[in-house]
Amino acid sequence: MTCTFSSPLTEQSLLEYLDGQAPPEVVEHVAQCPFCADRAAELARFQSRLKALLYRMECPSSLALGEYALEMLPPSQASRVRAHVDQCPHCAQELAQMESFLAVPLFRDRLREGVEKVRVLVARLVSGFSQAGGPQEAALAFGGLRGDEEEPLIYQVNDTQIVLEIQDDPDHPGKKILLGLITGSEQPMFIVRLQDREHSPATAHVDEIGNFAFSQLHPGAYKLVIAGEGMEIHIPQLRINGASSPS
Amino acid sequence: MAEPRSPHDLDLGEVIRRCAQETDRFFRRERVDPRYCFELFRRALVLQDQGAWDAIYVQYSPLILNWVEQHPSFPSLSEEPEYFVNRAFAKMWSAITPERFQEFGELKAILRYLKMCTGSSIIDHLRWEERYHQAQDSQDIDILDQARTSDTERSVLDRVDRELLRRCVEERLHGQAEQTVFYAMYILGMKPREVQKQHPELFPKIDDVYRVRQNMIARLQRDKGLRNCLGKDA
Repeated sequence: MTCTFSSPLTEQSLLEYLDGQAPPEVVEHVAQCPFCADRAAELARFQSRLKALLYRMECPSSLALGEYALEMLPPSQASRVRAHVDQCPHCAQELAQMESFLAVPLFRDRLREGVEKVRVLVARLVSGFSQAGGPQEAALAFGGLRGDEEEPLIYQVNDTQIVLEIQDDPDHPGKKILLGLITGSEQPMFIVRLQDREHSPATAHVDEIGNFAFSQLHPGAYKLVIAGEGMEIHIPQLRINGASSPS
Repeated sequence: MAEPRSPHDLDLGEVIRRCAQETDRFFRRERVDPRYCFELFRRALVLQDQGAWDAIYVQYSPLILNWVEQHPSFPSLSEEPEYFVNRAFAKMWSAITPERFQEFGELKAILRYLKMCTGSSIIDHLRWEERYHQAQDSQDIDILDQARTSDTERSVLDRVDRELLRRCVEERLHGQAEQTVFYAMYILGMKPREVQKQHPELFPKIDDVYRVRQNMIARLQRDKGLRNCLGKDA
């Protein structure tokens, strides 16, 4: 069998294809050329076997990450975990998620369901930092960390301000990331729910300094609910396409 | 007859009853005595009393279910929440030996550990799911299924095999750039762009990562010795 086209794809193009990074002409080539499609499949099998056996072989177990988060590991083991987390993006993400999960009080939801009624507040959209005032310092630090692709949206309810930033999701073409920062809230806010009409709600925890994040979002209209003990802040209409409609 | 003072002196049925009673009081926001629930855990983990374990399962399963549903990854999990309840208890059971129980001075610390075990079970599942979706053929999936069914910590044998394979690959690598690409992409699972960002001194452009990877993979693919290490069909 030979290539259907004038010249077969290079190994580099095949690797880019398998990574989902190839330009459309390479994707088209593989689709139309059985020879190059076979080569891509063989390369994929080889890489898959390597990954099945080796991928994350050095990562600490999830239990070790958890005990690290609880500061229960002996110092030498804790140092090894720390050193690994510093270079492994997967473990760094898992550790951050574990810490955020553990930061939520043990009995929070049952307490809320059983004892308290929830007060619902609706946040209103305030345009841009200059009009919103207040969280400039935090918001600028936040912008520095997260890039300046879009003008952040600022919502306000009483003294609480919610800064939302919508960016392209670099790992999932066509999808979006929503980054949030809550400032000025007298009560700690624990959890954020994001829901559209077509998908089950996604939840994210609010970290110690008020940040939260959602990824892999389809463009569309969402409802955002930020929950604290006995209180919820609602943003009824949030458009994930770089613009937002006032609530 | 005088009522026993210490939870140690109570029979199991009484400890279970009082633990349930104190938990209800907690949810009514009344003053709580956590000693009975702590004693229940002590009997389960130190004395390995099956009755105490059964009671803990009944008493705390709803709480773990609640934690699972609070977890940010819950909406995307492909298993029922009950699966994680069982895994969390199993992790706690194997991690807290009778000797280790002394590290836990109070009920809150034990429950915090149980919550951590819940989060750990979810991470295990997500790790497995990620690798499962990457797997290309049935033999790769068998490898992953074996890894999943092994207990909470990887078996020593599994680890030794993987170390041998890693050495087998590393012996065939040429220079620091290939070692970096192999380690970052196939062990840490980083993307080419991330590798380039982390090592700009080795890879000034992303194409440099692809070029090194292409040479490395082409050579490894041709190597019969390595293919034997990887198993048939590789």
